[in-house]
Amino acid sequence: MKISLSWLKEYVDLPQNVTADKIAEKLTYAGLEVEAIEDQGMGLDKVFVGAVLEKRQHPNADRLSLTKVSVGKALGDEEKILHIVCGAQNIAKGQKVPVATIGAVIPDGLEIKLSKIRDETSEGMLCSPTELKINHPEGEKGIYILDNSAETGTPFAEYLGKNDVVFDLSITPDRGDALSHIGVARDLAALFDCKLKIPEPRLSEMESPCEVSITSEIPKHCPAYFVRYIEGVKVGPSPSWLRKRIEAIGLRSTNNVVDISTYVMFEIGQPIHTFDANTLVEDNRIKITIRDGKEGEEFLTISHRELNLNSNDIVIAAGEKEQITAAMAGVMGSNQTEVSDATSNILIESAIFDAARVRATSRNYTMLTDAAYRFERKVDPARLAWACDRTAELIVKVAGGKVGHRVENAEAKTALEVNTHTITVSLREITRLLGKAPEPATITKLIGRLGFGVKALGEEGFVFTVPTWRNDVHVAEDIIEEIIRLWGFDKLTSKLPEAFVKNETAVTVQERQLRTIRKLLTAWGFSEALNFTFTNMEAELLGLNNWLKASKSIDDEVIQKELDKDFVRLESPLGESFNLLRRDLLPGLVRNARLNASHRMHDIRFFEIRPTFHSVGPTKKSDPRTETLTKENLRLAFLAGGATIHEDWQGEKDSIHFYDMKGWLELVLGAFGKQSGVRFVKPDKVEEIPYHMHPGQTALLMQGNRPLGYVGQVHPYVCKQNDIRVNLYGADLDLNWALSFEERKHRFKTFGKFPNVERDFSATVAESISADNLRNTIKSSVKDLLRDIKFFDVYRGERIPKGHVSYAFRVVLGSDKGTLADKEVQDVQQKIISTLQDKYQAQFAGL
Amino acid sequence: MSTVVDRLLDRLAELKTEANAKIQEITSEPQVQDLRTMYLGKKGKVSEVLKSLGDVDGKDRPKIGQEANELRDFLESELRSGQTRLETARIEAEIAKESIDITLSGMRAPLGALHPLMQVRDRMIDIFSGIGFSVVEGPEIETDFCNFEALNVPADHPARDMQDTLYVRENIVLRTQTSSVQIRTMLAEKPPIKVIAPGAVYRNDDVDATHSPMFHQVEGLYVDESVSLEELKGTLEYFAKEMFGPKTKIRLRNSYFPFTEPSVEVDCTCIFCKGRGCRICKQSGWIEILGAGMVHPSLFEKVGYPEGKYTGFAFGMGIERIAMLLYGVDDIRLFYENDIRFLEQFR
Repeated sequence: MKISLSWLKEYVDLPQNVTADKIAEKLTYAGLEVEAIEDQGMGLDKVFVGAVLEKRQHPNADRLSLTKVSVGKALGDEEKILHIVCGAQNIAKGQKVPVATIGAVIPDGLEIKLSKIRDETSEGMLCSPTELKINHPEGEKGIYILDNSAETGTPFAEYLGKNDVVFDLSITPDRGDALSHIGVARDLAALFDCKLKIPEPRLSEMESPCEVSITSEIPKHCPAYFVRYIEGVKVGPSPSWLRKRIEAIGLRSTNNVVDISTYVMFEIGQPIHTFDANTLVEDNRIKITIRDGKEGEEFLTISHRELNLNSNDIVIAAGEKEQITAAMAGVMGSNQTEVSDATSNILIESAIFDAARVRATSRNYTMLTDAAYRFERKVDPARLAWACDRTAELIVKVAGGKVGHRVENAEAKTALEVNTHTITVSLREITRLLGKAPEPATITKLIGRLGFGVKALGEEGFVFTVPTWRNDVHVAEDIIEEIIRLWGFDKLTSKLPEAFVKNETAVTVQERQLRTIRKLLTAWGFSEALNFTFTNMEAELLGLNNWLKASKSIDDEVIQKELDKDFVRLESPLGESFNLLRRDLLPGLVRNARLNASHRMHDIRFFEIRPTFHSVGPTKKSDPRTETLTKENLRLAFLAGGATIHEDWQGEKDSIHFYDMKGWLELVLGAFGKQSGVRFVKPDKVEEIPYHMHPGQTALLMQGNRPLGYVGQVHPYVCKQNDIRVNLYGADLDLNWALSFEERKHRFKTFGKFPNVERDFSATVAESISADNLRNTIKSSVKDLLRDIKFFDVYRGERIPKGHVSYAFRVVLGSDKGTLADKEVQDVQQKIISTLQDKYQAQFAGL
Repeated sequence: MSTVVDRLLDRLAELKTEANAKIQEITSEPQVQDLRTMYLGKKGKVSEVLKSLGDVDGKDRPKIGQEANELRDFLESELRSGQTRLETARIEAEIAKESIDITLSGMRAPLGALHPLMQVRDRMIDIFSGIGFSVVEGPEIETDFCNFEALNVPADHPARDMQDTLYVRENIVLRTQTSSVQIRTMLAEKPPIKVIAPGAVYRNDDVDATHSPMFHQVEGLYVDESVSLEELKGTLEYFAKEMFGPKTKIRLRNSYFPFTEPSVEVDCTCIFCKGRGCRICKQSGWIEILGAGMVHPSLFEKVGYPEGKYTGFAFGMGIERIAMLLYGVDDIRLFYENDIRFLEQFR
């Protein structure tokens, strides 16, 4: 909201010499934030109206002339005549022109200095409209020739009427009272400790020739409605003082009547509407009814929009049968009843409408008018009549006419009998909340200046009477805010709270664990990604649907079903591309890989830790205050593809493969602490594998029947579809599960005193037998003496039968009781061989 | 008799000259061993001399023995230095051949970067946990009650204009502010409460250089029997100094949030111009970094705390905003594109 300084000064006697910057600073600290200061006369300092006394040819330059220009007494007590060299052709003796004197920095940025031009001294510059950044038909062509009536020596800003400073204020929604010049002046009066002056309207009334009656059918939502009839106004252009004010606050002048209603609204904050009274009259009577809108009621706005109203809109209707829809209350008038150049009689409206209903109407038709804005934030009920009278006074002043009596609805008087409410605040409360308090006398002065009633009770504190315009002040804390914002936050001492930690929360512990994991992942080359929570089906499918359909490997419907399962949908989405919330993190990382591949970055390593979102049914003991019927599950996903080492000039690069990924996942699991019964499972059915993963290179991580995540190659179709040239590998882990374990505790174990023995085996088995099968069988057959099993080679090929695989592994044996005897080792060795032979028909090399 | 002694002594002197000359001329390591065998071995030339000791008169024997041992020691030491000389020469030669181009890059395994927003978040957690704040989290899908109603923002309140909300369905929203965690925390616990709540929040905003429908905040809440605005000021000043440097100052301006009273906006000295005034701070020397205030008593009422028993402060700040200031990032979209060229700058 724009506020003019010269306008403000009508209501408050600010201290002499206070600068616009100082005012802005004070207002900003006190909560009326000044976002910008527009000095209309910027750059026009030291520019004056000058009179050309003489003009002659420059002796050394054909295109220049020498002038003598008087700037009157602008620069001192004596008239000053300046010698100025000028290049423009359009000047002549006797003209009035703008003169930039030495020291001026004109709007185009030029600083005026004493100079010599071809040996002739120049003591200033005659300016063109362009140089002064003024729109004028002369434009580039020459010097700005002013009205001959302009008085020599007048500051040029004053000549232009641009001597105002305009503040652009950002008013918070609680401060409806500050949405006007008087409102802002009131805060300034308190901040600068000076007097506030509110004008009293003076009117000479006459018996209205037209009978006016007001009925509010909805006194709850329109408790008070004041009007005045004015006969015989002359609608026309506004006088310059009015136009200047209207334009200063960034609006366009319409006509004198409309401008006055705008003026009063920005003066006191009460929206005013004016009707062309003739459009409301029937049989020399005006009957106004305030009622609910009718469903579908037709309405043409002043701005020529055709609307169909509904019962939530409040309507100002006129006529015996309420047949004239004169206005959408509090938002906008109708085109039919608008004041025009032909209007001669008018009706002024000053009323209160329900904030919520005005807000709803204004939102519904997206008509965010200045009036609606003020009704939503509530107007001062005590200023209704004043605003009505003030409008009438000023309209008569600028447009003539005779004013009838003020008329209101029957309920208005009672409705406006405001119960003044009081708040008692003790000094102890003030000190408790702020840490310290100003002297009681200071409190009385500061709050009193704002228009509050203040009664000091000594030790007990104060009783404050809240003024009618401060509908945001209800409790002691509100008063304390008024005290501190006026006294100044800089009066408070910075104190650190007592350093205590109540209990370390579970999240604090988890946070620590997650940091370990995140550091590990970055050390392995993974960068932390952050993707939007929003997604859509197309993005989640990664373009797989067409490929899978073509290959017939998975039915399209299967994927769809999978995807539909428990997605959380947005009711008010950000457009079609953001209508679902993620329930899987990996597709987002694949999209990140695609973006980077498009920049030729093919070596990819990303991880992301974010919740996934799932719809769930109601729980038994749900508290409606906190129940959302959704579940958020913190997950970790990571994705890698490309070379294992980036900066390698030594020949062939290895590519990341499945076991790199699995290894990383195993290390991550290890970092979370001990978890029993966790295993990698290769699912039998392809449907159990996430749709975007390779069916033969994906393992599910399970604990019992509980799925905890997966690791594997991203489906080759995904890379193909998304122009990714390397094989991608991905892993996903349920962190709610991983974090549910107690923080890993390190505990020292003594080393074995006796040396271990290692034995290597090479066993050939059918391909269906996994390394895990062998490992588990050996574990259960060897038990106590087993220290470790390490697989160090896997072979498939010509040297062994088809459909077979050969595993080479090292078994480490040892005991805490003593060095193992050869016999013991041989027994174990034999047991391993015979068990694997029996169970898997294993063939051992060298046997 | 003396002739035998003299002859042996002459022989030793002769051997010394002869052997020394050969040792000085050796060019390969095997020659060292050969010479050692030739002169000092059991059948070597020095031993040979000693074998003739039987012919020498008893009183002269020690003299010869001493001479012979001295010769042995001398030759052994010469052989050793000869050996060292050869070894050194060989290693020197090898070293000379081993010279490499050290300007080729090191064998770097890739190093990932933590996301800049998460780095800022981590830093904030560290700063506040250093003065006793614990971390709590709340859900991102939130009830109208926790996100609005309990925070004094009823359905038709103009304050809802400040935030355009994304709805999951009626009364269920994507939280527009981490302040919702204040309510959940107070519903679950009795004071003293001293927590921060970092997390993602959402607004129905179109994406542009300064707006994102998803962004991050850190909320702080401290409630006890007598918490004051001076402590809020002290806490935030500590934070600003830790985050932006020890010379940072803060200022409090009155503002409005429905759930705090008094409410303030907090500026810190511009981190670019150190308060002198620049383009970034619009010549004011100050940059707004967060909103804060004293917890509105109606929140205590909503969560069922006894009237008048507690006071508290709360604050909330945008992680993106602070990260953009700290790192000079001029487009918020960069944080969500996950372009490696962006992320790796924060390694």
